[in-house]
Parts: sequence; C-alpha cells; structure tokens
Amino acid sequence: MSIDERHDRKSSGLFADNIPVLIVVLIALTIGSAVLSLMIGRYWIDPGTIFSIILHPIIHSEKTWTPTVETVIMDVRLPRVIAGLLVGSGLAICGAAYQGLFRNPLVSSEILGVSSGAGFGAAIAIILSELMLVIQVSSFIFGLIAVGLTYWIARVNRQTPILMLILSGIVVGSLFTAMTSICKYVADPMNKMPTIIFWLLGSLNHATGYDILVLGPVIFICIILLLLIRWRINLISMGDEDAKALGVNTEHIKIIIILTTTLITAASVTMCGLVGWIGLVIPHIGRILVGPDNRHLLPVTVLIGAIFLVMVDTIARTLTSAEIPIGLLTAAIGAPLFAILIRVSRIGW
Amino acid sequence: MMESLTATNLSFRYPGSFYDVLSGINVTVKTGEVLTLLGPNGTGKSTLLKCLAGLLSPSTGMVMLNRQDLTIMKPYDRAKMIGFVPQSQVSPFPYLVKDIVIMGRASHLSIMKSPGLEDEKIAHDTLKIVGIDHLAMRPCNQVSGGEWQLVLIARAIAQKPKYLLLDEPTSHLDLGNQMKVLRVIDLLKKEGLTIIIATHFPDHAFIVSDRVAMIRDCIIQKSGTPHEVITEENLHLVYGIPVDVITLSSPDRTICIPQWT
Repeated sequence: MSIDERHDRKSSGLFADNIPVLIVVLIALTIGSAVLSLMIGRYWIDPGTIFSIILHPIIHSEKTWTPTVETVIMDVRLPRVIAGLLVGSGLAICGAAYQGLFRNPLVSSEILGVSSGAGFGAAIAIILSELMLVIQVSSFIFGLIAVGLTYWIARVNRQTPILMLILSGIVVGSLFTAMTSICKYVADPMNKMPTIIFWLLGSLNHATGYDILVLGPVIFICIILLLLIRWRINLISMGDEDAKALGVNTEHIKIIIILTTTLITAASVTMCGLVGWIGLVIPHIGRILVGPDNRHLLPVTVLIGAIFLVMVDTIARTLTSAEIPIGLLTAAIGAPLFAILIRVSRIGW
Repeated sequence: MMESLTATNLSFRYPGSFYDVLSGINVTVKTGEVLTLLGPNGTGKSTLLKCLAGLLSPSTGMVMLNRQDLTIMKPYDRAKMIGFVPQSQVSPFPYLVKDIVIMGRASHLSIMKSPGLEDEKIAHDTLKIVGIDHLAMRPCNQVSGGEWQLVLIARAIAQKPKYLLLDEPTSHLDLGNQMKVLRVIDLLKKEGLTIIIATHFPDHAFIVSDRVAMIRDCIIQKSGTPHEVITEENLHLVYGIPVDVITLSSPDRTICIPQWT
C-alpha cells in the first residue's frame, strides 16, 4: 500500500475497511453493557440469575431467587436498560440523519424545536396536573406541535428550503424555551419548580414497562425507517438541487426524516426528559470510526448511541447514593470523550 | 419516436421577485447535438438550464421532454433521461469519490434500496470514461477543482441519461482542466448524448458545440451555428464591449479576444 493510499483510507474512517467486524464488536458491546447494567446497582445480581429471571416466562426454570430480586430486575432495571437502549440509539440516529439533511455536522435533533416544545409541554403539565400520564402526553404532543409549527413557517411555494427550516426552528425553539422559563418562573418553588427542573435535566428513572410498551415500538419503527432510507440521506446531503437532479423526491425524503426524528425525539423526551449531547456527538464518533457514508454511519451510530446511554445511565444511578440527572452526565462524560477523540484521530470533516 | 427536449414560450420569475429572468423563450435541442448557451452574468443562462433540467418550473410556458410536460414527470423518470451537472459546490461531508458517483444511480433504485454490485460497476466504469478512476477511493474534499468537476460529470453520466446539461462546467478551472472537461464533453457527444452547456467562454463554443444560443435581456437574441452567432457584432451587442473574433489557420481554431484600449 502506498503512502497515498494509506492516507486515503485513514481519512475515510479508522475502521472503514473492517466495518462488518466493527458491527459485530459493537453488537457484542451493546449486549455486554446491557447485561452489566442489569448486574450493577444497590443489589449485585449475577448474570445467570438475570437470564433465568428474564427467560422465566418462556422456560419456566425453578425459582432460585427472592421476589425482591425479581422485582428489581423486571420492574426497575430492565425497563431502564431497554429505555436506555432505545433512547440512546434513537437520539443518536436522529442526530446523524439531521446532520445529513441540514448539511451541517453541528446540528442535532433539537434544531427544529422538538425538545423545546416537549420540554414546555412537560413543564405546563407539571404545573396543571400531578398525573404522570398527563405530563407525558402533553410533552409528546407539544413536541409534535413545535415541529409542525416550524415546518409550517418554513414552507413557501410548496417547498421547504433548508435555510428556512433552520431559521424557523430557531424561532420556534426560542419561543418554547421562553415559555418553559415562564412556567418555571410562575411554578410553586417548593414542589412544582424542582419537578420541572428535574424533568428538564432528564432521567431514565421514570421509564416504566408501560412507557416502553407504548413508546418503544414508535422509536423502534422510526429507527428502522431511517435505516432503510439511509443511502438517500447521502443524496439529500448534497443539497436540494443536486438531489433533485439525481431523481430524488426531496420533499418526500425531508418529510420522512423530519417525521421519524420528531417522533423519536418526542418519545424520548416523554420517556426520560431532555437528554442532550448524544445526537450531536455520537454521529461524530461514528464518522471517526467508519467515515461519513450514511450507509455505514447510521447502523454504527445506532449501536454506539445505545452503548453510550446505557453506560452513562449505569454510572448515573450507581456513582452516588442519590441519582445524578443523566442530562448532566451525558455532557460531562461526552464532552471530554469527544475532545479526546478529536485530538487523537485528527480527522477533518 | 424522435426524442426531443423543447421549451415553448417559457418565462421564469423567481418567487417574490417583480422581474422576469426569462420571458418568451423558445428553444429545442436536436438529438445528438451540443448546444451552448452564452450570455452575460445574470441573464438567466443557469435559470434556463435548470428549467430544461426540470429543477425549476417555468412561470408560464412549458418544457416538454418527448411530448411530456417535464414539471409533472416523476423525479426518477426525469433523472433517467436528463443528467444535470451543477455549478460545483463543495460537499459538506468528505464522501469517497466513488460514493459520490454512485449517487447517480438513485433514479434507478427504489427509495428503500442501497446501490448494489451492478451500480458499483457502473460507477467505476463511469469514472473510467471521464478518466479519474484512480481517484475512486479519495475523499472528495481532497481532489482539485478540475477533478471535482469531472466527478460531478461522472455522477451525472452514471444516471445513464440521454441528455446532459452542464452549468458552467469550465468556470474557475485552469487552462489544462478546461480542455480536459471539453474533451470529456466531446467524447460524450460521440457516445450519442445530447448536451446543453451554459458557459462564459465563446471560445469553447467553437470547440465543442454545433449550435449556440445567445441570451440577453430575458430572451434569446441569436441562435445558429457558432460561426453564424459568435460574431464581433453579436458579442458587442451581448457583452457590451468590442470583441475581436479571430480565425487562426494553424491550429484551425476561432478565438474571441476582448479589446483593451
């Protein structure tokens, strides 16, 4: 291999030549981190017991564990791990898809205002109600309303130019962020305000089995849809006009991407509040590993996102006796990790 | 049936603007010919090209491809017929050259499908045609301006179109690369493609084109063979400065030189 060729390969990703191997390793790591997260906590539970408990409804092995241990696994840790896998991979793939759509490696799923909208929906519901269900439904709906509003403002002459989308996304995002601040300002400082703040900081703590049954399929299906159209994201990242000239129905692709990412993000915020940073950083880590081609980047991003959030959540609930809000940790761990990766890889994009 | 690409009474106005960029344009490209659009900056050469490529919809009048209205054709059907090479702008992501070229296969694949081995082969063959197959594995932010132009041409050819429309393919290229691009255009013409080029170089029209249309003030002022149209009088009319058109005997070429007094 000549120096020139080696140079070529390096710039297209550290593992660009071994993508199948990398995928297998990442799948193993995903399973590994999930199992590890199920083991660690106030009770240490060994992997054998975990598998027996989870497989018990199918295999009916003899119960060698206490009901407490079963409750800890089935009602506490398992929903949390599944939520972590779904939200981590969902937010990560949203970031990658949006970076392609907006032709800008600095955007994430917040760009069209979905998180601000969902945050406001949660805040206003917390003030008006005590019910978790009301808060979640409100959060989800306001997330969709925010993006709908952004799309409506940006639509001119039966088209939605990228620049208009970004501008109106900023406008709508600011509007809902301001309204969230108003909610905080008027909320009862003794109980309502802390609830709002904790919600906005994010936690997998309130992810229940019920949430996963309802919102899990939404996130899962949207991830699959994005994976299916991943090559089209390459095309649309060349710009509207180029993509059109290549025969792509750009408005269709835009709607599919915006709809799926909005559903994923709104479902994520509904399940565990605002978890920032993943959508921005994980796709970059993916690019360092496999290069910018979305055919490889999207699957890899899904896996890294899942691993990252499950690991960070494990740390969030075990590091101290009180739980650390995960929104803080994703930034606190993600930022230095990202900085190290940029320094070490020295890959320009 | 004879293939044809025709604009009839075409006018175009950008949304929100009060002025027509083009008005009452009639133009037909004949199969197998190279048509060059000349005209000063901002006269609507690119706009006309984009209307003919189906990327912009005319405000009035229509563009017909084989007697079908281009604006109501499905994007993928249109892209199988018409390849468009845009004015080069940089890709925000450093995709490999081969991955850029393979994007030309989009109109042949359904929305959920990624390109397969056959598409890879077509992309590779296309890179060979334009003479840059050695760059296949190079990230596209590490190629020169001339090479990038050839990559964009290769991407359009990978669509396997009948028509190739190029928007200022030789602008901001050095002399060597200008000729490289013209050579590729000449080659594609010989392969049977019908080609429309918008350019700022009348000299290049003499080299590759069969017909020239000169645009100014929203309309086609003159059209015909290069020697009929690219005259000192017409160049003066269109560009507003005196230009000498000089025919050299060896090599057998005609060149245009703006006067400097």
